[in-house]
Parts: sequence; C-alpha cells; structure tokens
Amino acid sequence: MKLGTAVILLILLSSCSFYFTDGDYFFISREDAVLPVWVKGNTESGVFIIFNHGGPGETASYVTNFKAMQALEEDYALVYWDQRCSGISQGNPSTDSFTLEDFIADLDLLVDTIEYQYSPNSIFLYGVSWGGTLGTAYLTDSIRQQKISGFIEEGGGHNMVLLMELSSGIIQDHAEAMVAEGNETDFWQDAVDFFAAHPDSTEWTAEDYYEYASYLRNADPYTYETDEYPDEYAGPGGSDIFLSPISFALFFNPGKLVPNFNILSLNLNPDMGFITLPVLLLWGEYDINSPAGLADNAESFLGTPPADLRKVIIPNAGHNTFIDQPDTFISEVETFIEANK
Amino acid sequence: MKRICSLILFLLLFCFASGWADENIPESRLSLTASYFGEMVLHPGFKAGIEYRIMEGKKASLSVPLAAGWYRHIRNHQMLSVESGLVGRLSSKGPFFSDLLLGAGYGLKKPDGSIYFEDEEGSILTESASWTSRFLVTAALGAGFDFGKNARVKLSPFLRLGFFGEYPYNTYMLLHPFLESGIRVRLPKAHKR
Repeated sequence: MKLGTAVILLILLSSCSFYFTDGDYFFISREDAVLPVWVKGNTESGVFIIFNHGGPGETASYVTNFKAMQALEEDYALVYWDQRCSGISQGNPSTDSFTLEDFIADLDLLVDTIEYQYSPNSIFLYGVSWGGTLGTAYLTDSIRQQKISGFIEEGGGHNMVLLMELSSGIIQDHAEAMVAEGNETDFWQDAVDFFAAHPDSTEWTAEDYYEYASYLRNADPYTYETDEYPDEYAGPGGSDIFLSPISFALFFNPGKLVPNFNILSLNLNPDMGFITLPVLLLWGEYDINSPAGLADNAESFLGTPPADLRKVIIPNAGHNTFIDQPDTFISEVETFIEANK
Repeated sequence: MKRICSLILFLLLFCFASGWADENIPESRLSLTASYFGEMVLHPGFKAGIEYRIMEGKKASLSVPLAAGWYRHIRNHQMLSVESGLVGRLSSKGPFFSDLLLGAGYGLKKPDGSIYFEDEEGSILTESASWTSRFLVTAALGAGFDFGKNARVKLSPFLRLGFFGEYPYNTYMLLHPFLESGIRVRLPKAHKR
C-alpha cells in the first residue's frame, strides 16, 4: 500500500513539472529527423527569438532555466529547439544528412513553422557558439534573410579555421607556461606535443578534436562566479533530467553526430557580405573557445551597414556571456531587439 | 562489454547451479504479472503479462516472461511494447528473492506531440505523430518478497531497476533506464478430474 502511494505521488510530482506544462511543445520533422521545439515566454509580444544551441550536438532543452533567458521570456517568446542528432532530438536520420545544408534546411523549416503557427511581427535568430555558425550560414541566403529581423551571434564560429588557430594558440601558450612552471608537466607537455604534431586543424579527425577539447577544458577557461548571482542556475540537475522531456539521448547524440559532422574547415567569410540585416555581436573578453578575434573578423566581413552592426566585447565573461554576465547580456539584447523589431 | 556479458552468464549459471531438486510444485507453473513501469523512473506506464516457469528448484528458478506495456514520457515520446526473455530468480532462506531479467521485444513509438513538416510545394503541414517500429532489448536486476508456497495469498511484490535499449535511434541504440514495481500472482494448479 505504501509502495502504491509512493508511486502515485511520484507520478503526480512528475506531471506537475513546469517542463510539462509551460509554453507550447511540438516537433518539426524532415529527412527522418524529429526535432523538439519549445516555444516559451511572451508570445503576445509578437517578437520571437529562435535560440540556436552550440556544439554541434548540445541542447536547448534546459536553457530556459538561466536568468538571462527568463528575463527575455518576460518580454519576448523564446523558441528553444534541438538540432538533428543533438540534445534530445529523435528520429532516425542517416548520417549522410549530417551536413551544413541539412542543418540550415531544418532551421528554415523551424522559421516557416513559427511563421505558420504564430504569424509573429518579427523573428530574431540568436546563435551561441556553433549556433552562431549555423545562424550565419542560414543568413547568407537572401530569401531566408528576409524572414529574419535581426541576428545575435554570441561566441560563434563563422570561420572555424581562424577560430581553431586563435583558440589553439591560447591553449599552446597556457601549456608552455604550465610546463615551464613545472605544473602538471606530463599533461601539458602532451598538449605542446599535440599542437606541434597537428598544426593544421582542417586535417583533424574527431579523436584529434576530442584531444584538443580536453586541453581546452583544462586551460583555465573563464567560468562565472556563482557568488555574484547566487540564484543563477548552475546547470542540469536531477529534476532537469528526470522530470522533463530530457532523455539519455542528451548524452549519446553528440557521440554519434560529432564524428560524422566535421566543421573544422568551415569558413563562411566569403559569403558573409551577403548578410545585410541588423547584427549584434556578443563576445566574452576571456573566451578561449571562440576568442574575441572572431568578433573582429565578423565585423570585417559582414555586409551589414555600420549603423546596424554592434560589436560588444563583454568584460569578465568567457564563452557564454548570457551565463557569465547576464545583466549586460540582457541589456544589450533588449536594446537591439527594441531597435529592430 | 565482455565483462558485463560474463557477469550475466555467471549469474544465470549460478541460478542453475543452485540446484533444481524439487520438482514437486504445488501451484501452476504459470504466474500473472502487473506492474507500474517508469521509463527514467518517473515517466509513467504499466506492464502486464505472464511468466512460465520452465525450471524450478529449492533456491532458484528460471522463467520465460511475456509482457505487454505502455508508457508516456511527456513531451518526448510514447511507447507500446511486447517483450519476452528469461528471468533467473534466486531465493534466500527467508521470503526474499532476487532476479535477473534479460529480454528482447518489439516496440511501437511515437513522439509525444504534433509534428510539423513541409510538403513538396513548401507548405507547412501538421499531423499527429505516427507510430514507428523499434527493436527492444532489456536487462534488469530485481528483488521481491514471496509470501511462500503455503500462503493463502500467492502474491509476490517485486521491484526492478534496469535499462532497455531502443533501436534504431539516430542510427544507434538508445538506452533508457527504468524502474518497474508490481506484483506477481502464482496461479493455482489445475486439478485433474
């Protein structure tokens, strides 16, 4: 009897989670991929912001918990979606469909679906890291660009060759300094040797990328101080995983996608001149994943008139400015959207 | 992987090696099962089925289960399933038992929500999600309480924790943890007239 009561309580508890009640939840599907979409926030505003997650392979499923997103949801509708073979996306798409063209076509289907479902006044694209790369690639087509009112690129990788060169350089300097100080010498000597043996990131395999990523994680990347924002969300916990749409695909999808989707030689610079809509570039001062030099690069190649282009290097922030400095982030994004909606 | 397979084989062999001496089974070899089935523990569903004991001794038994079930992972998917396999069960001196379930089956799955797609002319259409076939494999460890062969109520509450694999999922097999909690009812042996 006690067991039955406990089970009923657990079921009731699970059905009460905001993950199951808030906003509109549906799926878009093409090329055998079934991608979850969560529209959350102020849909009455008529302003919809599509959040492109990073990776490739990460998720937007719990990003709503961050302070910056909750603030934006009060004024606008946020559209969280997981890309193919990323996050908790479903279906059974062939690995042959893990191409930039397919990711762009998925995003275009999402934009058209939002237009069909809500008839919004304006749609903004907001891309973080790889999501910024995807957003840039999407907007290089003039027909697709007409559907969007403005683009926010945060720590993006629109020129992966330059990104890897800058990022690897910072990590190499860190590794050499650590070796010179005699600090974790074996690990950092391996890093020095790795970069010496693999100078051209366009020829890296998935295993090479994973090795680089391990050095990146250990190279003292900037992380936000929880003391400054004591109520800030610290990342997914038990309730996010067990009381939400999240499945274990969150852990397995990237492992399938990344070895079959190499973006390390992707350079969108030649086509960025076709992008003329308003753009906000947000970069963290201490971003060693996508260093701030990428913001300068975007500024140089975008076709957006200077009056519609704003570049902000946010102090005391790393790769995710919306987590590291939410107040600055919110202020910049809201100013940009109000000016261009 | 080899170690896991070896462990499973060892547990099954241990079940057998524990000795089937007593073939004097007072009740039928057939049991009915009914359970709460929680994918990722909390996403609710149910299972119902039968178990047929193919071997039984004083401390161990081996059964073939057949169960059908359904669960809903809200805003993710729903799954219908039919599964069979083997259950090796070890009894302690007291009323407690532990078991190992290895199974395989067929699933029908659909996303839990409407689906939007584009037709050939580029128009957006929407439809309810349709069921698609899945191959399922299951491995679980369980424990339970047996009221005994002479008890008036031949019920055995049980609890299982395990994983089932769903294939294909983005061209690989996705693992789902689950908790199953229910009862097994041993049916009385039919009397010959």
